[in-house]
Amino acid sequence: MSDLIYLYGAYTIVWAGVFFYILKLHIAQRKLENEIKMLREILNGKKSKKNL
Amino acid sequence: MNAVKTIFLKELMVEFRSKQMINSYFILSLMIITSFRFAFSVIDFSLTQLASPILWITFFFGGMFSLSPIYKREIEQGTREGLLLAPISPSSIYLGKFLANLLVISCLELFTLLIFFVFFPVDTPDLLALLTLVAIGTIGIVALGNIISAISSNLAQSEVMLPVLLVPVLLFTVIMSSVSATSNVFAGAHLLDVMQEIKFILAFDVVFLAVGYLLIDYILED
Amino acid sequence: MTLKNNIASLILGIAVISILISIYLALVYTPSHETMGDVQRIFYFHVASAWISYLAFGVTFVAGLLYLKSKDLKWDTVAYGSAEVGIIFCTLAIITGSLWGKAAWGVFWRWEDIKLFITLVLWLVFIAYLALRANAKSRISKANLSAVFGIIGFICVPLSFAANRIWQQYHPTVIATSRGSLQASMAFALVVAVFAFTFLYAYLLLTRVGIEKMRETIEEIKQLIGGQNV
Repeated sequence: MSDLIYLYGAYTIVWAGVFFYILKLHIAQRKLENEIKMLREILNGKKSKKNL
Repeated sequence: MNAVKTIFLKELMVEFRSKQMINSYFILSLMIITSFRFAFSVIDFSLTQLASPILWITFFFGGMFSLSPIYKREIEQGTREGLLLAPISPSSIYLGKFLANLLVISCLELFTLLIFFVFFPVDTPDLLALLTLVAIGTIGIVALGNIISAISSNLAQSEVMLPVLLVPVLLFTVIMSSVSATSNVFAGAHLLDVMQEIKFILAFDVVFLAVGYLLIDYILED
Repeated sequence: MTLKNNIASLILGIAVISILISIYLALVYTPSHETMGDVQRIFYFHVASAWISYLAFGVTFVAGLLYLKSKDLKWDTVAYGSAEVGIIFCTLAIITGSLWGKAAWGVFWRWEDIKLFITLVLWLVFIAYLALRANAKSRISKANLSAVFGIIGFICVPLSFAANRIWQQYHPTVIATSRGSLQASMAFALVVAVFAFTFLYAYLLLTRVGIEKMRETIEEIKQLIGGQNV
């Protein structure tokens, strides 16, 4: 029965691994989305300045 | 074919003028073989079992370090642009360099083999089988080493990247099969007994040469 | 953009539902193994992870070929994303495999076993692939060199596998057994696990490629801003 620890270990590692990878991807995605938004605003700001 | 010959002769000339590869190969193989000999002088070991991996590790590292400058020096000495502008296809450059290095490294390996037998006196009933294995194994080392050397010459930290890229691919294909076949030869097998391993090593040789010939174009461009 | 997001959410939805089903199947529905008992339940997700890592590296190989043929950087991004996801799953397969080995064989790793060995080699090859990309000097050279290296690395695997077949095998062969050592319910649970992981892989790949595209967009906008300054 002590073998069951390997079962728990394996399941924990698989799902924790998948979960943290997805989390990492989502954090990166959020960050980049915000950065793109910010850069777009700067770009638009510059354009409107030029037009003035 | 003419282009291949031109590159072949040019490579040999550059090599014999600088003796970069020859010197480093000699020193390195001597170091590796003696250090293994020292390491195994303090523990009990079976000569026939360990001889084959030691021999191939020596060939592997010798080949790797002597192949590392062959594309890099074109960049460092500014001859790369000239080489690429010349009416020579990248595939011919690859083949020419491959043949030249195959010749030089094969000769160096024969000397290494002599040193090796001095330090590790193993029985080799079928010397022809050993020489065949060394020959086809070397084709694999040089064919793949050429490609990886070209790749790493275009990278930052190329000295580190060469072993990083070469080890997983070369060690587990050509070297692995050669070690297994050579152990059998040291244990008394004949050429016909190791035919299966020889077939696989030849298959790797063909794959590496084909990949190098077809894809070197993409490595050398930009 | 929104259509793509919808597709990604749909794939994620399928993945989550099928993962939940497959966990149920693996832990509750299937009987315990006659000789190994409940530890054998590691096997479902171990095989699924290993399958996904081979699939992912295969995608890297094909995308590398497509890139070299078309010179479209889109394929290079796909190859890169797939390699990274493949390494994650390969790591999971190696860890779960050695836990399984500890329970079944009493040791974590058997160097003599060719399947374990080849998987480790693949892992090393694609670690080297990422190292190559990290050290490339330009975007184009990164794409070219990594495509060539990915092709070499992947081509060697089946050959290497065949070459070392001579060695003794400890690894259980799952497919192609005439006697069918796998019970029908176990086979079904395995199929569902593989199905679930395939969708999980598709979602991860889409997201990873999306992130890489966003990075490129940022570079473009930055250049636009810089260009207007001049």
